Amino acid sequence: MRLWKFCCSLKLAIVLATLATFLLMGGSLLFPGNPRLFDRLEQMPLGQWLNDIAAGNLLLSWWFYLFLLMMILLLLNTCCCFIDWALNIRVRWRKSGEYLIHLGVILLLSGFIWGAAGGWRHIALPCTVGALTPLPNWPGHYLAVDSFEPIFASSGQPTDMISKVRLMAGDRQILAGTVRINQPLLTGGLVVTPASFGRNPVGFLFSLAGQHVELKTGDQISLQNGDRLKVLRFLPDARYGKNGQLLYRSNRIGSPALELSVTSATGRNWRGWYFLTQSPPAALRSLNLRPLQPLYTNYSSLTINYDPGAGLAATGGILTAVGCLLALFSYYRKRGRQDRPEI
Amino acid sequence: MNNLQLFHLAAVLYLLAVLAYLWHFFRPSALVRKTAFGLILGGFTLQTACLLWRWQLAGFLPVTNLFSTLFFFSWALACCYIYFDLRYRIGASGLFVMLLNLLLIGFAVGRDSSLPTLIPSLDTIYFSTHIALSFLGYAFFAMAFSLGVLYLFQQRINSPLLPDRILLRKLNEEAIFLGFVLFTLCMLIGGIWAYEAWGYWFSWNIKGVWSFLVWLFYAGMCHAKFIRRWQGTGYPLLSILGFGVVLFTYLGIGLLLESNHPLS
Repeated sequence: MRLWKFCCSLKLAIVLATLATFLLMGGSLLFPGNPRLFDRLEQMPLGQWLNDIAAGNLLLSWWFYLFLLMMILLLLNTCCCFIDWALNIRVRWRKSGEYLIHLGVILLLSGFIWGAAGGWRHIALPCTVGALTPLPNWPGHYLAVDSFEPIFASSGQPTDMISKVRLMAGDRQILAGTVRINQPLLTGGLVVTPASFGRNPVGFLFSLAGQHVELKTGDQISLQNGDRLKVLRFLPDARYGKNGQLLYRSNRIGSPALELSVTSATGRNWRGWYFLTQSPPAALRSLNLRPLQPLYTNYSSLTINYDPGAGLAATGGILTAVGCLLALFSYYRKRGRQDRPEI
Repeated sequence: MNNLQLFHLAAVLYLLAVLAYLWHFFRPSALVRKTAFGLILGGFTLQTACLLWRWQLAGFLPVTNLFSTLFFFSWALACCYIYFDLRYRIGASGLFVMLLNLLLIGFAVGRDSSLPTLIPSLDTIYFSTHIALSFLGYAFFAMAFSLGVLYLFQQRINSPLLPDRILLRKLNEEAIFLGFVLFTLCMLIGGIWAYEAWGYWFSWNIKGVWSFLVWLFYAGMCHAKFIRRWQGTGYPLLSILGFGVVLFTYLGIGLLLESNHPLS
């Protein structure tokens, strides 16, 4: 009985809350000076951060473990308080609002712990339009962005990012919908939100015998003399290394190069690299191929977060809000009736 | 007349109210006290008109930079004081509360008052509600701070012009309770908004951490009032300390540190 009273004790709650407060106050002041350690807290669920990052930096992160311990003890203390109230509800029903807040906080914290332990997160995962993007933390699952449209204000500022996405489990579609700013795609703890967007160079526009042709990886065109020109690869920025091997430098237009093959009806074949910043290889000179401008495809960066505790936390949030309103109502009602006016 | 002139006029009325309360403090007079409260009501009306005007001009609740948040904080504090004075007739206590309000206004005057373009993720009802509840909560915590200081002041001078200590303690508790309720709702709505905008409902960004600290601190205060030892001087001292945490969360982090709630 004494142990139960201790577990439900208000003083214990205040001691635990005070210790948690001081630990977090002091510890959080380390955040700005150690961004490599603490900025990662945003990029992954807490459980993963504790395992992968904090455990290797105990000198700076020890306080976080103590803080979490205090919060778990506070959660248990709040649970005990709530159970004690529920067991004596006949005489303590007038505190329903306050104890609904307690129950809400219990569910919120439990939901948070569940999400921190069992969730995963991809921040700003670049998803190319028309391609399947694998989700590394969810093997066998892919995100397909079927279309992407950025909306701009007259000032040029982006005002929305509209992506039509499908979530695939292998070949099977499990979810489809549109993702926009403040309009995420939600299902069973999984949430997909827009983060940013960009564009990747995928080929080049050429002038070929007075006509414009687009050349991207995999494209084939018939030439006037009956030969076939095929694009085997496009690299936006490439160069030859010291040993003669081709180096891929970046995904931005720098020194673009195309690997091409020309197949003639007579069986005479050519295959080689065409660096667009240089004159074309001898085999291509007769084609009068002139590079005009790069071709781009849009990609949408999406944040995908799986939080199995989100539903529990949402229930906790609703109960807390209802509890707050009930507590507010009962506070003034008690005041009005001079019921315990000292409180 | 532009909207800022309304704000400056409101500031002048608040200043006159403070002077009137000061007068009342040294030469008590019911007429001067009523005049002071009337000036506050006048200032509040002008400030409300200015807020509505700026809201209409911007197309959203203008609380996206330091000037506009200080403006809204000051408006919420005046609103909070009017509620307490209408309900409890706290009289000369207004001197201290309105001095605090003048400090907020003084800090806002001269800052960039332009209405910036709203970034797309803020263009939601959750944003306006989150901010409005947050600053109303802060205003009640500021009120609790003022009442805490007055309690300690009254303990020393025992002035008949100020409410007695029992009433001050009750008002302090009420301010903290109301502030806590509003701030809890602000945190919940902020969580829903963050989930929709970024995919997770709690951020370990320093602003999120300190907002949680504010909530934890005042949750502790809502419990501490039941402990006899804290019912005397301890509670007002905690109110003062709590407001320090609020100010650091609002201004310290917004101005000194990098966060996802920048003020400038």
